[in-house]
Amino acid sequence: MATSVRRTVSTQADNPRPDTGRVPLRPASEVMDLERLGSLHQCRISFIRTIMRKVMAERWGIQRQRFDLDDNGYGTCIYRIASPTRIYNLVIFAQHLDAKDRSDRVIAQAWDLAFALCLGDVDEAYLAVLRENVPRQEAGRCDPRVLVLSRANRSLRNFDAMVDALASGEQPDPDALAKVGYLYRTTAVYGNGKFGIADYPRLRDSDDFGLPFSAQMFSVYLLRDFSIRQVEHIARRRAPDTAVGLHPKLQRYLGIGNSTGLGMAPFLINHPQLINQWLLMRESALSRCLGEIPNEQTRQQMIDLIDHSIAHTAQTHTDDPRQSKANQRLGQELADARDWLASTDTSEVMLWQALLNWSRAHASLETNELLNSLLMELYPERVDELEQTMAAAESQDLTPEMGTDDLLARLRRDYDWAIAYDFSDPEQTHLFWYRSAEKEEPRLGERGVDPGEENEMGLDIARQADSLYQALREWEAQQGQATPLVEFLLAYPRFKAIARRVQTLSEHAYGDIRANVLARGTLPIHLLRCKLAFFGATKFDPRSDRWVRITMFQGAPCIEDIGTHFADDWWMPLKPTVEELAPCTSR
Amino acid sequence: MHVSLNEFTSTCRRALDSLGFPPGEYEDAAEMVVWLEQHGLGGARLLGEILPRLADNRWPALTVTHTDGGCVIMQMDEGSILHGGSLAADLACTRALATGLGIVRLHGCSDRSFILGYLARCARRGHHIAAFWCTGEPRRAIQNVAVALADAKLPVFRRFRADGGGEQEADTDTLTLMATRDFAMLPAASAEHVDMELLEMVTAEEFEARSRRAWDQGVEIDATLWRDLSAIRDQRLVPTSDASRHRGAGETNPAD
Repeated sequence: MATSVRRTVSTQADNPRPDTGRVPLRPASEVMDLERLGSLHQCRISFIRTIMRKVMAERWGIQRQRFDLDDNGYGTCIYRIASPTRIYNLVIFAQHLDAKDRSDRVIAQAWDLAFALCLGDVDEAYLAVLRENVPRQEAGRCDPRVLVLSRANRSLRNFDAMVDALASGEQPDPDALAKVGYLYRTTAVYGNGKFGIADYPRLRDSDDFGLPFSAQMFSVYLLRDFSIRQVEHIARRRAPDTAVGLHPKLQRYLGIGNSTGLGMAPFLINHPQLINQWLLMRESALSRCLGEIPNEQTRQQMIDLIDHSIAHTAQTHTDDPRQSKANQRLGQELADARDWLASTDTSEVMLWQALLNWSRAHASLETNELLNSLLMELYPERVDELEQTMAAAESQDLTPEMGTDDLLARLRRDYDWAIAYDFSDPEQTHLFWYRSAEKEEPRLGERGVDPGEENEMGLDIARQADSLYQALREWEAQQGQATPLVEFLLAYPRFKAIARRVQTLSEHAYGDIRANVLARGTLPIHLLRCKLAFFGATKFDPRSDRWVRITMFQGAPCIEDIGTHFADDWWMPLKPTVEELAPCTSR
Repeated sequence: MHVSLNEFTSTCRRALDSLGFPPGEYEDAAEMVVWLEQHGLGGARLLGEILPRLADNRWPALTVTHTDGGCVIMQMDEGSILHGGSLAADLACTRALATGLGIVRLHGCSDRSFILGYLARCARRGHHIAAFWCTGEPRRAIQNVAVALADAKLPVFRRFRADGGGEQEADTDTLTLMATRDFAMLPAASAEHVDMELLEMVTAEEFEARSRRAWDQGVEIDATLWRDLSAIRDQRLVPTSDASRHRGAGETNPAD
């Protein structure tokens, strides 16, 4: 038996680590806690913030080139987009949807509208191809000219009420928009090669959409404009003499919804290097800001931001009891944080660190993480550049020469949280994840109750790490010494995936979520919220412990605002006041 | 049928998972198939040819029959290189680090051209590695040589007809892997050897161009193969039920 060779393979060149200043990064044991990840809020480097800064700074040209809708708002619309480097077209097909077919689930077969972001211009022949395939979504086939494929359903609560109001010359009730801040919810936004569309590497080196999910987020942004133009169009067709356009303040207050189920959860577990990169950038931004020396001006800015957040939180509605309680607590704790900050001496050099420590000791995770997001707003010059390094190389390569003793040491160091679970306890393996035959939707089953256990998905990282740990110990006992890992894997190939993951992630501390996702009581919604917060979601509205609705782009500039002054302060909008909604000329 | 590389990769992974490939192995095997297709060497067609065999085979034993420092002989129990053959390359690399030169001869192994994609991964990890295998008829042997240099993104691939007077037997189930810490120890492959007829050579630059094309345009896969792969992939899907639809996915009032 050959002895092991110690050698370190680094992949950091592909996954850059920025300078973080004098405050150390928070430990993975804190950051990667599932409940904390499920308490994240958007921040400056969330994807919709990034794409809005880019569109506004580069003054992208966006035209409604075609707007062929009938009296009911059904038909075809094409947006033509000119970035500094390329031309794109967003093609939208709006259609009638029977009430019986209406579902936000991925298993739905029809939607109120379907759309595709395409590279280059779309001629009539290609439009016919798109018309044949885009509305069918998963059942259609597209080609690499399509960069993003998506669909959306109307919010029944808002859509008809808004058409009625505009048709009768009135503005819609802002309270209703505060409750549900959108007219459409996307139910899936596909990129990266799905159903024949362009693979992500085609976009990776592009100036426009090289950052993760930027093409998807931009497509959703344009859908927001369509939703406004569509309700205005229907209102005008219904009552040409009385209809008015939507007030600009309300246009800006309108976002786009998204409805997400368990389908999003496997992504966070199957892309650990990317997740590491997102969190590393967020934590680096936080560390940089914590190390900044405050002054009276920045302290007052922070107090103002907290006050604004309190108001925004008070206007956030959910029917979910757990989230509702969390929102109430958030509002109260933000008020406490404001009072603490107002009464603390600014000569405190490490004031921001002290605020973080105060919130750790006295506030919920939601409050902790919102304060962290707010702090980043104070120092855009220290934060925004990190958006450029949100992408990551995702290859997990085996280091076969690594000694089994070295791997055991890494397991003890990095996966102590996993080894600590007792997997002989049925409570720890109560759940299992599987793919349903219905559109391959990921679902959760109860072991011993639901069928499908034999086809369990391999999302059980904690259990796999624990099994590897036990097997390596037995191997070394059998062999009487450590060996190169490859010798172990030749005997036990079933451990290859987890061994390679442990090796790879020993250099990516924020890669693995520190939770046993099989345990009874696991809340998958935390996984969904983590990813959605990085997208830039607000107003989390859980519909169950595995289903959530959110709002995006609420408060963002409208496409008519491109080219005007941009303050990048739109992300937690407040409901327009009566005074702000004074009558204006219809558009 | 036109598919994206990501679709092809995902479907191959899940199909091989359905066929019983262990975690880690099904990803590696899928990557080897896709690599060959992406780089213009017919990975999909070859997979289509062997799919019935992969579906029938149990996971073959892969054993070390002789080891002597840097030299290892391994026996695969009538399997495909996709059945964990990548570990043979890993073993060669490990021995090279320990002794300077690692040679692994793997017997009983078919579909050896799939190793090309794994050589590229070894090179990415910082290893110099070459693979040699023989195809063709007895006395009409064709030597396949692939060389991947450390930190180079892609290998160089050559096929020679090594007539040598018609004496060479075609050893069609052996793969020889040679890894080294030193670039100079890899053989210089000359295209002008008097006894060798160069049948094909694909440079790293050509591989790069093919790869870029595949990322840009996707790949064309035979519709029957795609249907077969999809059917195998779907064997791991769990039939739905009302309980699954509602409780399993957590749906509540989806349409309001």
